[in-house]
Amino acid sequence: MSWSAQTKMLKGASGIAAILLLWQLSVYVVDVPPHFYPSPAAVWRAFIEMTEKGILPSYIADSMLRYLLGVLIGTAIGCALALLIASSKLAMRMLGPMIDFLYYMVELAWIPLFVIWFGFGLPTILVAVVYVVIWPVLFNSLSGIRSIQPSLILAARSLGGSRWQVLREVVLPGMLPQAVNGFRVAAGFAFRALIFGELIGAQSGIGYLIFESTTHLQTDRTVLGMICMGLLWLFIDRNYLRPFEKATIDRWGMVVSHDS
Amino acid sequence: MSNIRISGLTVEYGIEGQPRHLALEDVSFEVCSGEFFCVVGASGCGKSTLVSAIAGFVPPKAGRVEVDGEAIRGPGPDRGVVFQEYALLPWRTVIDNVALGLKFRGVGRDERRRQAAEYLKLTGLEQAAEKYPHELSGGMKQRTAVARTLVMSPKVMLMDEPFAAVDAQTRVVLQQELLRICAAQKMTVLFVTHSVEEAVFLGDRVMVLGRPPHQIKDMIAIDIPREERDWGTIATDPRFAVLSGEVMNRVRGN
Amino acid sequence: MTANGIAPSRLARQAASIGLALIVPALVVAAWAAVPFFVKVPAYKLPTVMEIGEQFWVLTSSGKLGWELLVSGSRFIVGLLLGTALALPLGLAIALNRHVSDVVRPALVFFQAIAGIAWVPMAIIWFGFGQGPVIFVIANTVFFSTIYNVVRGVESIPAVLRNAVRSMGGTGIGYFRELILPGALVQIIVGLRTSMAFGLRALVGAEMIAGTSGLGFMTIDASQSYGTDTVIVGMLVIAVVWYVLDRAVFIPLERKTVVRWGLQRFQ
Repeated sequence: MSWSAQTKMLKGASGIAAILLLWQLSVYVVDVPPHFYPSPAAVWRAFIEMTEKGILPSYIADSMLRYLLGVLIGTAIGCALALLIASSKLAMRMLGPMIDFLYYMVELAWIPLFVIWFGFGLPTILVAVVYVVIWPVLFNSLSGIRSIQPSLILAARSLGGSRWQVLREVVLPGMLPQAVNGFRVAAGFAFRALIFGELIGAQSGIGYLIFESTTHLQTDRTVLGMICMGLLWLFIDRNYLRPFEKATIDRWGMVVSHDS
Repeated sequence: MSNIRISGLTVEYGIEGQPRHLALEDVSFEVCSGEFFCVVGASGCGKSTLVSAIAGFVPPKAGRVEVDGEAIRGPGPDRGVVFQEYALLPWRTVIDNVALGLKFRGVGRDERRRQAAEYLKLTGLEQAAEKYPHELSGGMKQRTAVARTLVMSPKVMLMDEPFAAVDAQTRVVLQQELLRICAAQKMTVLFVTHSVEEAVFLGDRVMVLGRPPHQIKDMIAIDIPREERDWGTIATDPRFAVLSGEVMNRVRGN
Repeated sequence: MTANGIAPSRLARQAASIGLALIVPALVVAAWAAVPFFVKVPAYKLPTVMEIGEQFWVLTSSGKLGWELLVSGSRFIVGLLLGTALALPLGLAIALNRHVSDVVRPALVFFQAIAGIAWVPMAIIWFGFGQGPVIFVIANTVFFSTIYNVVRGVESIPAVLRNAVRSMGGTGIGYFRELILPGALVQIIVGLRTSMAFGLRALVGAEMIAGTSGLGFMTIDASQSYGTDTVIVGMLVIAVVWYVLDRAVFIPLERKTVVRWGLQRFQ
């Protein structure tokens, strides 16, 4: 690691340490009930306790399972829709306006309807996650397909490529960088939808932990849940989403505009 | 013997909701087998549309396009197309780009890479075989595109301003190499450009295209033997100067 | 070809487009109406289109819908202003000073990862149910989104321009006013749309959990008593509000600044 990168990391660590320190010190100063303003020490004790009892690991496992399942199903549906729409002008004209309209439907607003249809529980959470994944994947895949140079498709056709061959050799790889970008946005939305779904209707999971513990005024656990949420997301993003994006885009020398 | 025969070709262009635009109207000409045929004209005269129509990308409103006596039906590997913007697949290496058409044809991996490698040698790209297009210069990209069409042994090669995007020094080299390769392959070429000098340097014949109606303004034979086409000497050749002047005049509409 | 010859065909094409676009919604409505004939579903789960329309009328004429809209809207504006006002100075400080950036960024990245809905329970402890937590969560969401935009906006100013302004003697306030602010403005405006989108989601989500009024509360409250028609009216109203905001405010705003300066964002 270079010298400047090292100092940069040290500075960053000092920023986080300062926040922790100020937080802990301010607890002594402000004199409010502990549940109103849990200290870092209390959060740490909650972490140890919940880990020893095995609650925290099982909550994290539950959340991750729901998350993975939802993201996979949503991505599959989004990609399939994008290909269907891209492969046919008729489908585009039939579905385009409908999709434009659905873009303006705020995903969270569906939750009460999902609750009525599927009850409080896993189906609602899963549907919510799947739903928020579909749209970014679909939009970005479609814009990826539209961004393919027309001459690439013409060239492939003039080299004798059939419809299917052009789809496989040109359209699919051509839309991939944007689709991956959309996937990353979707993965972020999905994570929030998961937490929100778990806040509203779950018996386990990180979102459940955050919400449920406040009703017992165990806010040290609430804060623990929030920190777990942040760390989990950073872990997913840094270890899986970014490398995945880099792998496709850098190698092909393609640039994607980031809008998120 | 004629290789490409265009008769009464009329092509309309239109974006949905806008009045349609007549790009080609009743155009007829023939290109002989083995001929290097240049089309020159100002922008908007429909010369790119001509390539698209022969390639089969746009259906004509009227008229016929025949290659080797057969009317064309849509795009096909019998007509190799070289685009100004290279149109290489960014996710394939040079050799895989060149082998793409063979893959479409169902040729096995080893065989198509062997054939592609042959054409890489012909176009001077052996060293770049495993590179991705974004790692290449413009000139090398266009060499790749030429190799990609030649490997399919097309009946004709259609080139739409292929050197417009490369720098001047590279362009000169590419022009000379193109002549060498086409002579070696006895390739029939229809080459579209807006550069009069390029057309006169490359072409056995130069067709001057204008806007409809009466689009074919002139057809000028370039009687300079191919062996003498060398930028080192031709610039001072009086025949080159005279022919260039003549074509230039016709392009300007005199 | 004459203009008369073109007009009917263009009309016909437009009519065809509209017709095609209506097929899918018509199918959805038809399927909606047909479901009860094939599967046994309780009527409350699938109100008819008529019932939804009636409910819309009831909610509108009683003034309830207008009131909830007003409540949600005012919270949204307050939260948005609060979040933006706090984010601008910090964002500029991060963008302009390397040391601030180095120290603050990692913490910021972490807080950004938990921004939004996850704060609702804690905000309820602090402010009680009602509009406190809602405004807090909107401001929180907008804050992180805006910081990101400001930093990105300043960073997107090309080095050539910075050097040009400096070489003409632009320093201090002048440098800031002539280059940094206008240069970052485009990204800030473009990013405002994203911030608003996140803010709107925070609004709806927070109202559902912590609210005692507002559109989000209205829908979740209705869902407790199986008022599916109200839920759907609420969803559609939120969508229409967002659509109008986007079309009437953001797209024109973006066009005015971005297009007038001839930049699509610095590349």
